[in-house]
Amino acid sequence: MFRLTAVLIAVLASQTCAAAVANVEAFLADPVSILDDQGKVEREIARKDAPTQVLPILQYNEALELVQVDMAGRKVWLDPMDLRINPPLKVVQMPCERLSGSEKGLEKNHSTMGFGEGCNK
Amino acid sequence: MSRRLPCFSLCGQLVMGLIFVLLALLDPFGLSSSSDQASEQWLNRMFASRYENKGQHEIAVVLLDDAYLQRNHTYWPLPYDEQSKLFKRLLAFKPGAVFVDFLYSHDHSADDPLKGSQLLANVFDRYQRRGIPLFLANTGQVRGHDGRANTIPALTDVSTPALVAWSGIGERYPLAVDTSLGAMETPALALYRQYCSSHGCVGLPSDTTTALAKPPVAIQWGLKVPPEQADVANAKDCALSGSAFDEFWKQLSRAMFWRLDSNDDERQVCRYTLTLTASDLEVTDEKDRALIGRLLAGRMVLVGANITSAGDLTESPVHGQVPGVFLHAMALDNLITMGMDYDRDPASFGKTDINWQDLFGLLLVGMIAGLKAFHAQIAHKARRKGWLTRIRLEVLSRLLSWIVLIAFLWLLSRVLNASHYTPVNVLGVLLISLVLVGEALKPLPKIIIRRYQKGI
Repeated sequence: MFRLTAVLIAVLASQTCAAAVANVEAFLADPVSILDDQGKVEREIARKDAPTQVLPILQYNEALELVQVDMAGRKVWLDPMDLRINPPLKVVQMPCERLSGSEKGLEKNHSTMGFGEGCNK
Repeated sequence: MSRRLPCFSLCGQLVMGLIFVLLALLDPFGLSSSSDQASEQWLNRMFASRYENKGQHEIAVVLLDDAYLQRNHTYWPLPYDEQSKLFKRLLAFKPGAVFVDFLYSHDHSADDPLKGSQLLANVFDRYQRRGIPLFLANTGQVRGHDGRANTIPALTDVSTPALVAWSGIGERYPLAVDTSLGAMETPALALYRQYCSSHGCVGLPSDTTTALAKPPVAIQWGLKVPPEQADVANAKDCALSGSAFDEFWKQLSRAMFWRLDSNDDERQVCRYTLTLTASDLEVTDEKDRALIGRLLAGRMVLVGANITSAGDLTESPVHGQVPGVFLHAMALDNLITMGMDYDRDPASFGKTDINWQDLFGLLLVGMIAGLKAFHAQIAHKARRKGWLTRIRLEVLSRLLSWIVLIAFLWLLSRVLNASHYTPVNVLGVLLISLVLVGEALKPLPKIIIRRYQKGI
């Protein structure tokens, strides 16, 4: 029991560490948007004026895909799409979905989507 | 009695002709319109293989599909926070301009700042700051008046409206429509203006009011799948398109023998416009992101949905039913490829729905009737001549007339196509012209039998 608890604590601690070591390595967009916690633009800065050193990520808002970093002593939110983050916050492979064309023309669907509990979320 | 017969015959023919003209022009039961439509769709398929691909390099469609919803454990209509992520990703790939074919008519989470429409408005605002024009679907109706739906104000403030609802022009695509909110441009013209701002276009309407006077587009669909499509999708199920000649015969045989063709395994005709899924925008690998960036940067991007039971489907003569966003994409493609010389119907006479093309169709049918009467007279005179002369006058001359008529029809269609007018009802005229072939073949057995009997 003690061993299991120790292992669980170790795993949780390692994940916390992993999250803590995610860093902003580079700014890709120009200009870079400085956002508030709702993704609203507060200001924009030219890439040349952005910090060149590695910035540790303080928080990750997964619902809005925003990261918080400390820039010149001020905590700001950034769009991960504007940044190179290492290790990546998530890894998504190219789905390479099957290309579809006229298949909808062959089938008949006599239904309307019902809006269930999803709308109340 | 025998002297009165020709007059009776002539009067009968005139009455029949008058009835035919009335049937063609008044179009009771929509038979003539159905025939026109079938002919037009068939020609659209025939011309699709040689449609130029100038616009194909400038346009991309991003489709939000069921697979994306399942992958992200979300639902439809997509919550605003999910949409904000989608459009944020698209923004990073620097499109030239964006049209969003979603109608944001209700704010499902107005009281919840963590889920409300403001999240999406914040992202749309970033498009404006980056100088990327963003057009949102708009019905052109006053929101809330008599229960009518339209985009919520929070989003209209950070975008430009593009009209997606109109009526009274059938399958045609208008450039602009006078709505209860004033004159509004459709997505194709709105995006074409953006394209023209960097490419220069001739004859572009100076403003929306000028665009109102322009005839609607008779959309010509394309056939060939863009080569870069295979970089982001599995295209192995797509039908391979051959040369224009191969495609012509393929379409012709398919149109004629479609009832005999029940091969369900046949490869499908894939979409003409470069299509990415919303999932493609999520990729994290740097090479993949660079690839998506190459495909979207600077392009006119149209965002639509292909969700089962969501209902926005349009009919393409080439592809069958496709998500509605492809209609806007193809209309834009026509504008980029053909400029303001896009295919259109001729102007109608006054307030009627009749134009000179209808008269052209009647003229062709009149020609067939005239040729039939002419050959009947010749055949009457030739009935006591030798078998060889009868074959020449009764059979070969009719076939020759039919060939000349078909050649004239083909030439007329080419001239109309080159002049960017929709073609006449080729199928209708072709079918009626078969009367000449039937008349040509009718005396043949008699002539052969008589010749055989004389020979004995």
